[in-house]
Amino acid sequence: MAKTDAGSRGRRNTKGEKMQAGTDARPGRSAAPRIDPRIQREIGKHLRAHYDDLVNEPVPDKFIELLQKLERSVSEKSESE
Amino acid sequence: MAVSKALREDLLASIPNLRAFAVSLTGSGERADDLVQETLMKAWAKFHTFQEGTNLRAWLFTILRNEFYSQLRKRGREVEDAEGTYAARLASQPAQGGHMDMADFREALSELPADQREALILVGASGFSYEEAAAICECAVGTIKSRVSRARTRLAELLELEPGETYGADPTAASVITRTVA
Repeated sequence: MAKTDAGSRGRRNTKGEKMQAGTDARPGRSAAPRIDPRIQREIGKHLRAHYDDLVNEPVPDKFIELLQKLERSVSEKSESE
Repeated sequence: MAVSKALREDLLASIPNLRAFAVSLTGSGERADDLVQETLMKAWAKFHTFQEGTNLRAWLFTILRNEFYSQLRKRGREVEDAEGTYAARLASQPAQGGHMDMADFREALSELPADQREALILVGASGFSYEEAAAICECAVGTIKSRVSRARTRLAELLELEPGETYGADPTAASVITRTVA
């Protein structure tokens, strides 16, 4: 009966990749054990705090200058056409 | 090719998120900025392929990620040397909002395998759905789900979190308060 199980797993793989443990689309059947929802929340909270710190860093002027430069190059091109 | 004003403004507004993702991939602020710069130039050059009304941020993240991996292939493995430098700088900043343990968290995050960290950041912090993250990473949705799940489990292990225990919980805060009062 093990063969049947392998077959059904294979069908779920939409990309035709070689099926491996843990690539199952259903979270309950993934290789990693389920973790405590409270721990999951704590991890999520810290992850977002970490990411928000990065997002809230000021944007360096060089990016704004780069966009202006790109824009100028476009308008110069269209003028010469 | 003219880029509409709205699109240009959306592009500008996406930069902080692109930088945050780039830092997560490279582990280095300097390298992240190079990557963002390259992404902006690539995006500008191929804006005609972008369908207005679809998710610009996902489109940009895909470009950035592809650029990162193509640079990685070109450079080989020297990237490792920058690993952790940026995280260390962040870790040296004073803790904010009572996050006594952000430094530990960042260190644990930097220890995750790259594919797991990437999936966790996209889904858990950048606000993408599993489907969008899978499109960005060019893999199956199930693969993203599995990576996110493994990343969480690994983080819990690295941070030695046990069920029932609250991370960053009162013992530390309580001892700080006691010290402050004393």
